[in-house]
Amino acid sequence: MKCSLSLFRRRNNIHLQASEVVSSFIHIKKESTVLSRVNAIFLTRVKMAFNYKSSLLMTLFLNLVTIMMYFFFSRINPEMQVFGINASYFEFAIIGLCLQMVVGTSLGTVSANIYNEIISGTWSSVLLHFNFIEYSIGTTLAGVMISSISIFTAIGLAYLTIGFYLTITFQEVMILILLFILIVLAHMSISMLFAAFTIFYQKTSNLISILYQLSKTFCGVVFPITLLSGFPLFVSKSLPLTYGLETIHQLLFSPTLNLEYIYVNILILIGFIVLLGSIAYGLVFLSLRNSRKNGKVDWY
Amino acid sequence: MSIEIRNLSKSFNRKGKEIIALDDISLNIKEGEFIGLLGPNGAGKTTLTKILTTLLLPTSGDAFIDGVSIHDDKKIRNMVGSVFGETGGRSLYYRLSIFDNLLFYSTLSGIKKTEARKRIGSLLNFFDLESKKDTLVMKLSTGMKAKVLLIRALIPFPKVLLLDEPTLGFDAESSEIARDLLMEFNRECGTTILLTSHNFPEIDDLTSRLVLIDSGQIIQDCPPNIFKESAAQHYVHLVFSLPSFHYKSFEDLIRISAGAEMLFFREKDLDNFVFEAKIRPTKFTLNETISRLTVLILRAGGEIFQIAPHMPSLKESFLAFLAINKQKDENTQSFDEMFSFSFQEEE
Repeated sequence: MKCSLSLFRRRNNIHLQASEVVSSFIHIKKESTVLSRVNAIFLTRVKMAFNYKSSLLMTLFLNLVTIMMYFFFSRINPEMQVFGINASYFEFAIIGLCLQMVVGTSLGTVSANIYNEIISGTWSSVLLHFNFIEYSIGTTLAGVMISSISIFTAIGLAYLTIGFYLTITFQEVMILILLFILIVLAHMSISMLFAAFTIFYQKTSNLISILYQLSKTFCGVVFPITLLSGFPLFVSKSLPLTYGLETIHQLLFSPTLNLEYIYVNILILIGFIVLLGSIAYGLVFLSLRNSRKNGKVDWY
Repeated sequence: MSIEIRNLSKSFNRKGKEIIALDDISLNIKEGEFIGLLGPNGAGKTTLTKILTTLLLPTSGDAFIDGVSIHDDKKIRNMVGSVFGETGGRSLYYRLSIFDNLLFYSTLSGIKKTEARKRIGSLLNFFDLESKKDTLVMKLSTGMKAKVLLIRALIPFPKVLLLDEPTLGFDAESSEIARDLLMEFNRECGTTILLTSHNFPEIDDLTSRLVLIDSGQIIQDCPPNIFKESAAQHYVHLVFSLPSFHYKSFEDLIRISAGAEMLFFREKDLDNFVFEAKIRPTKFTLNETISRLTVLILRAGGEIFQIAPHMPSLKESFLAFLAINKQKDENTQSFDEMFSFSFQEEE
């Protein structure tokens, strides 16, 4: 049987022989870089998201509707100013609106991805080559990219249909990019923190939704935080989005560039990232250890 | 790479009840050995495999792969490739193609993309999956998913392979070529392989050593042929006719002259005096017993329709071994019960 099978395979000349496969393996070393592994995680998530076309299109549609709605309102009274902001309300709100979508993604991605891995059964295989930082960056990048694509597509479509203009200097663009990255990283750190609990309890937490709602309400997305006092102000100051958004508002709406204020907020954001990131790293290490100890690596 | 397991124990706490999955296991596996791990469901095979892949931490004891403790999980994971007993390939991303799945895992395991593509290509070709490489995993059959899992374990070219039911769902041809490939890895590259399977012919064909595990303990550790000889009985299957037959005197005759004992006897065709018997050699070898039985029946004026040695398969031996073990346990238990009963009566 064995002989006839290998003869058949050889005669047909379609398939490699076992010896050929093995000999092609021998002199190859392992040497993939951190960047290539992050890229692999990123690409996998993006490809999977594009394979869920209906959900991707639905997100795009919802973003489009929301953004176009704001554009439409701004057309009713383009010069409308509220809360004493040095800009039209539309200009004020559109920044927070776009940012909160990205924040929502970076807040939920790491923890949600790990939960999905646990319930689908891929977790133990991923864990064999798991590097928490690489995994977090890869998945968050993918999530942010997908939500950014849908936001920018929505803004683009809104611009084409309704019209919108924005003047911004090169220096401001660079600071904006830096702030964007820092805001994403700060929220990724929070997600990493929740991921530790997801690994340990094998459950997702609704606390992320609460945190997201708090960020939307108290971080200056729909009204400036100068209007807050007491406990709401404390909540606002405890969330990283406040510092990012306030800096962007300052950057775009203030006639003079207050670099000191910008740097302080950037440092606070970096502080958030380092502190939350290290706590999350430690907690994930403990959670993984505990789940391995109790035989609760995945559901199977 | 060698595997050394020292007094390994693992227990789980389930609702306040302690479940012992592994009970003080010690085992040495030499570099390049192909070991078969057998045992009934819940014996502790998967727990052992998971501990060796660092997915589980032992309660006590330690294990070393090439001298590296399993507590050094990063190093161990670089040395070990594994397939966990799973149906339906659930550890693959269903919404990704075969190729994307394999490329993802191989990049994570540290292989450069260009090299990974080369290895994936040759393994997909070998398993006849080249034409399906862009198919989503969710659209594959169970056997194809199992092939992808095995390919995934082989791509990093690990020095140690821990395979838990790797050919589950394979068709006959794929199973055969998978065996060829594993054999080649073992023979040519010195890959140490620990194979857990309920596919007995596969274990029998491939492995040089058999480790039997039951209730978390190693109950047998020997080469498959020795295990087969010790666990189940060889016997001679005989269909014959004797004109003047008397059971008692025939039984005595085969005991005295052929040095054998009757395991089974039935009248097959009473009108023509045809009988069927299973006879176990007790004194001589199987072949010698066959010759003695032949002479005995022919001398008595009988006729032989069929005489053949029966060699037990690994499956038969395994079942017989488990049955004997169970019986031993029950006997010990009943003895204990008897002892405690009389003791209580005295009280």
